[in-house]
Amino acid sequence: MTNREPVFRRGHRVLWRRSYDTVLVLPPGAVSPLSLSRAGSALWDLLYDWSTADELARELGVESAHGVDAALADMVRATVVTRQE
Amino acid sequence: MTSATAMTITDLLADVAAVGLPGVADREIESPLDDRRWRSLLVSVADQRLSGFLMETISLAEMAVTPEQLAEAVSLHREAMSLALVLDRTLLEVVGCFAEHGIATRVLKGSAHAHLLYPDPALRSFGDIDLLVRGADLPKAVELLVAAGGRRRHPEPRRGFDRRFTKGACVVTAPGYEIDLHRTFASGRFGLQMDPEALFERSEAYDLGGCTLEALAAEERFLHACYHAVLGSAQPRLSALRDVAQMAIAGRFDSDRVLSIAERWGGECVVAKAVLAASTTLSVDAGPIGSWAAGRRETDSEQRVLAGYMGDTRNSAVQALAGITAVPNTRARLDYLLALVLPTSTSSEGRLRRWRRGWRALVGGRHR
Repeated sequence: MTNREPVFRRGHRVLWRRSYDTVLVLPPGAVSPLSLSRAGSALWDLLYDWSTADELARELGVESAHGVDAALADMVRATVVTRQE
Repeated sequence: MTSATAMTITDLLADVAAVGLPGVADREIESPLDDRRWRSLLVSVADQRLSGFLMETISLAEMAVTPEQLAEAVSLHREAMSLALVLDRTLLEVVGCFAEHGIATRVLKGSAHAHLLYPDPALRSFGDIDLLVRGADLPKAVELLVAAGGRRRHPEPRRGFDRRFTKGACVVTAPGYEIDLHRTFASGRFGLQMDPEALFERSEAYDLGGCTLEALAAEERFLHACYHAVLGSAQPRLSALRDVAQMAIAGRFDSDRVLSIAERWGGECVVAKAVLAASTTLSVDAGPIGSWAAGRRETDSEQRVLAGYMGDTRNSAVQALAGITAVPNTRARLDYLLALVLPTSTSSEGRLRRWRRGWRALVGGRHR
């Protein structure tokens, strides 16, 4: 069976830096960087390669992927994460 | 463990700048600094662009801080990293624009050092963009930046000076970011004795936002770090000394090639001074090149030329006028001198005053 769940990865043109317990990302065209929350930063660390929301939730040790879905949707809207169907 | 009260701010800063280097004495600061000393340290950390190293010092538990102090250090680092990100993006735009117009570049210092020298680019802060371009391309490069809304800080003193003699040109972009376009590593004699064309023969690439940028090759990068540390300001910036130490200790370059280029450029004294300053200030063993530097003696002539770049005797006019001997022929010397003494561009009063002071410093002694 083919896995048809969308997969996510950091936008490969997105510039970012780690700063203590957070990650700063500069979306294309934005004037200043966004500061990810601690949870968002943990998610960012896992987004170095394509993953589904379920896989990311498992890696983060959370039972439901709902929170991860919402965070990914925000990151996709901010154009710092790429979604592929 | 060390009591914070037993250390001066200068010692504390040096420890911060040296954090993580092999062989550095492990001196943990067991109790937080009092408010006055913390404030003084933080101001110096910002000035010396050491916020990444301060965060590393705190993260490795080598310096105890209060929750308020931690918040201030984090805030300073975020500010520095936000600037670094915006500068990195500006760099990509500028390099892309130059490439479209056939202008080759080598990224110098800040961004290149952050990405090539350190395990995490967040350790290395920077406040501007430094790009090497060929002398022949410099006027076009300036023109492109000005056409994009930038403003050149100092005008070219005479037509043709940029192509043949200048260290570089500084353009401030519309949002206020400084772009230093370099033709050589230094003004005056040390810059004029270099072979800038050779800097484009090799390179080391790094990835930035999915694009490939070219930095100097390892040996030339080390030389530039040394030139910048010693000749770039009256007192070497600690982040510049850290760059020198980081490269010397990692040893990812051919020391013989470094010294052979330095000899050709008349810059052995600069390399020796930078390596000694880095190893002394940061209390590290700079490896084989450190041993070479410790055994080298400066000549009287080298000391005289270096005096124009360092400490209280630093003077840009002295540097430029002393460079005359490095200009290859009589005609070129005349052009160089004419540009220095009788610039056709509008010069500020301040600039003229510096020239007069420099001239007096060079010739004044003979009339006393």
